[in-house]
Amino acid sequence: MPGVTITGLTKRFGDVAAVAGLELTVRPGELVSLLGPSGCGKTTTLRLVAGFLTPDGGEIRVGDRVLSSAAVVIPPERRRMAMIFQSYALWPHMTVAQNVTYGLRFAGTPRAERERRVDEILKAVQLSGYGARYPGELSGGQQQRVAVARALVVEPEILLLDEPLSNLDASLREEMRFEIRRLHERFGITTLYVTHDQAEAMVISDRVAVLRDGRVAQVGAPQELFERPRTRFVAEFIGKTNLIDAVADGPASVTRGGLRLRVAALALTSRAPAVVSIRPHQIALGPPPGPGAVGAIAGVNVLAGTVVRASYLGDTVDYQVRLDDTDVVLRVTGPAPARARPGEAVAVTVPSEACVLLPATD
Amino acid sequence: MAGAAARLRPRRFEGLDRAAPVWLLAAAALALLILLPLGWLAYMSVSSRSGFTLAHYARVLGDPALQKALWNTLVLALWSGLLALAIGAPLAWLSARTDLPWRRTIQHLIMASFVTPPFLGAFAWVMLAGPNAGALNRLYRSLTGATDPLLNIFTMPGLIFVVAIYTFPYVYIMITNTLGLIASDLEDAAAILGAGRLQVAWTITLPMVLPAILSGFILAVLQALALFGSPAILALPAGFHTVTTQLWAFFQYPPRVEMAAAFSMPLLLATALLLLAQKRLLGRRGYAAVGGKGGQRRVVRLGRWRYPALAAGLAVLACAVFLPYSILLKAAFSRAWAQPLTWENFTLENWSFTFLHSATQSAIVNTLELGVLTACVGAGLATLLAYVTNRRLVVGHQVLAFLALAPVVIPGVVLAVALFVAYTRPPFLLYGTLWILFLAYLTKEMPVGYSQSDATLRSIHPELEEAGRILGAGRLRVLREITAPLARSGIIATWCFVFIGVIRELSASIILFTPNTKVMSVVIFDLKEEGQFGAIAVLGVFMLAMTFAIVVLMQAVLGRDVMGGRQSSGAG
Repeated sequence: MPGVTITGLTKRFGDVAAVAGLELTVRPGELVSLLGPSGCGKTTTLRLVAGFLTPDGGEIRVGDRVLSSAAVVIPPERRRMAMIFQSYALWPHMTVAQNVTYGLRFAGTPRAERERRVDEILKAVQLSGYGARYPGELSGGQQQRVAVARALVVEPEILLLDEPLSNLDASLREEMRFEIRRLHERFGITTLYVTHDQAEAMVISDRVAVLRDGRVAQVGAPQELFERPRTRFVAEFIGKTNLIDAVADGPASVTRGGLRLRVAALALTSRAPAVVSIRPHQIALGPPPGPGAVGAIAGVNVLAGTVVRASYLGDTVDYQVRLDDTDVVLRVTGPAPARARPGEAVAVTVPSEACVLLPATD
Repeated sequence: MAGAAARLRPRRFEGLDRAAPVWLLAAAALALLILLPLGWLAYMSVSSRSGFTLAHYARVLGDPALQKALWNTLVLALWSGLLALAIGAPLAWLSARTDLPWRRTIQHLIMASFVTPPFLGAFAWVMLAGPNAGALNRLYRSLTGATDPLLNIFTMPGLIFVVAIYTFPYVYIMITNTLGLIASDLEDAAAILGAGRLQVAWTITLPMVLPAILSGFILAVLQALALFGSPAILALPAGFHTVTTQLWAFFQYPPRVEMAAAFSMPLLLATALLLLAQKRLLGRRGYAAVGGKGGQRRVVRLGRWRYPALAAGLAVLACAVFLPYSILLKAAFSRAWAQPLTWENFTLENWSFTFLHSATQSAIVNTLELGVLTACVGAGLATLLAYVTNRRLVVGHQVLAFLALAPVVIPGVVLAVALFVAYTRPPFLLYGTLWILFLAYLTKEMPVGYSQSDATLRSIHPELEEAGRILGAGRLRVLREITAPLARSGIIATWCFVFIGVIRELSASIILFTPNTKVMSVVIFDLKEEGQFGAIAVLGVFMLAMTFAIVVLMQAVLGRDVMGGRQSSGAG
């Protein structure tokens, strides 16, 4: 099972560089998501890997075989890949069985074996007995599973998925996320998965590559991206966060106006700009602190604030809290029921490890 | 991974696209088809024994008779365009926006007017409104005792009228399509603020539809400019020429080809400019995009105007369909078409005379052969070209699309002159064979064929083909196994459009035919010289029957009608 190595990949459409020197390595058997907002180049990258587009620069390798470069592109039919499209692309004039068998015809597989493998894969996606139906007779979820079966049955070296869940309704989407992860763990095919939904990427992937403007902003395991984002963009894109523009005033603390925070850093340069990212669920609210109880105590920041808004969401409560003597308003996620009402004074508690420093320029 | 590894062994020239030659060949064929004759035409118009010259242009543009022909053409085109607009636009609004009764029937009848060859309509109107024997005039005279006729079709107004009743469907189609895109809520907003029905139509709907109206007008003018049959039948006996009849006259013995070439150019220029104007009006999408997805459309209640509006619509259709078809049928079955249809007058002789006549038989065979051949080659080429441009398979595919649509600029007569010039000399000596007619028809019908194929291929998502390729199928296999089956009904529709276009073609055929290579439309024209109205009527009815048979086939088998709409199941 080979991996995919992308080096210096560039693709321009007119004057716009959709992909600008992208570098990424997908290890054998790994599932990597390409995550990003629309226009970031994730679908273009996928189509370059599939061979539908010719790169303007850079190289795409599978194993040690060069598949795409500015000079030569191996056509899609000779890349030993399979792809699941956003629209599923099931052929309406063929039955489910014919759709799934299509790729097997080019491998020289004898007929009896083809039928056996089709039956097996339909069973794996829970569509046994649907072979004679036409795609038009199936529901969206069933069509999606046919698309999955069609891609997996040919035992590709590389599997490509282009936002396969975006046409499904929310509950089905959630269910299918786990299904795709299960199938990946069962078959272990090297996979590239394009999505704009970060929750989906977190559930499905071994690693996530966050793309912006045609480049990889950060790549890593979901937990690493969430807890230790390296840029402002990544911090804001993955989950919700509070971003505070401050200035360093000591080796491990920053200040903004009347606010002073102890952060998770070791050797800050004094008076250097610093951006701090704090996740809303890592902030706790409590009864208002007495005088002198505000400050950094044993690695935990305790601040005084006033609740501006408290929205009840059922399993959590979403607060907006203004910190006293500053212009900083923090978003806090706390458990239900609400601990404080708008207008009340509260203590805001943030551990210093939760205050992650990002480069001030992105 | 036995499956994947065994599937694909590395081959030589792995990166080469082996389907490329097919596309390039199709592109080259198209370029040759369009550019070669036009090139020769331009060359002929400035050439003489002593080299480059503008003398032909000087003679052509300075000759008072030819200037008159240009003027007549201008008058004809503008007035018939306006009349077509005056008929087509209100009918479109009534049909698309109001509760006009019998909407579906009216739409079908308008479609019948659309497929009627204008020259047949002209013949029918000669029988209806000719000053001496015209049926309407005789009726008028018998009712009022007057001696002078009420109507004389052999006049410029008569010609304008006949041209307009067969070009108004273009205006109608253009406007109904646009009205279909405008949601009612835009008009409801005005109504709520107090605007009456007519006010809403005038102040809200009209401005939004204006680009479509202007564009429909331009289309009607374009059609009128290019017509040969109607002017030949109605203007020549009245003693005036249009550009098209004049071009034809240049080809009567002895042929003055250089003059014809030079005289073609103003017409070509005019149509090119008009089409450019139309394109500007509609933007890049080629139809009046009004923004918005359409949506709920409430009908305007006409109230007490319902039946007067219906009467007006039926009056138009009487002129375009009922009266002409009736007189054609009557003449087909009468010994003397001008006499009332009594039992003594009834005969089937016209039919036996026409169909047993060997010249007519060979003409019918020629027409059918050419129809089938052109439709097959045309549909095939158009589909291939539409595939190449839709999937952007060659550099410069936009130029291909432009070339495929370019012949719409060339009036049939001009195209015939160009083909004559190009193919009456070595190495392609095609004049005198059916092949020159084939080329003329193929070129002329390419725009219609291409538009239809383009629409068909647009509806096939490229991902359906990509899915096949990633699983191991090469480009040509994907075309055969995935695209072609899905495009089948569209390809059949293209075939039908081209076939219908060929069997009714006159303006190019009348210049390129020879005694051995006549087609039905030319025979009908010949019979006019002999005054054989019975035979004309028979052939006309036969031609109409063939056309309607194909139209019905398209509707039944494919679920769509000639005017490009899907068959609606509910309210028209």
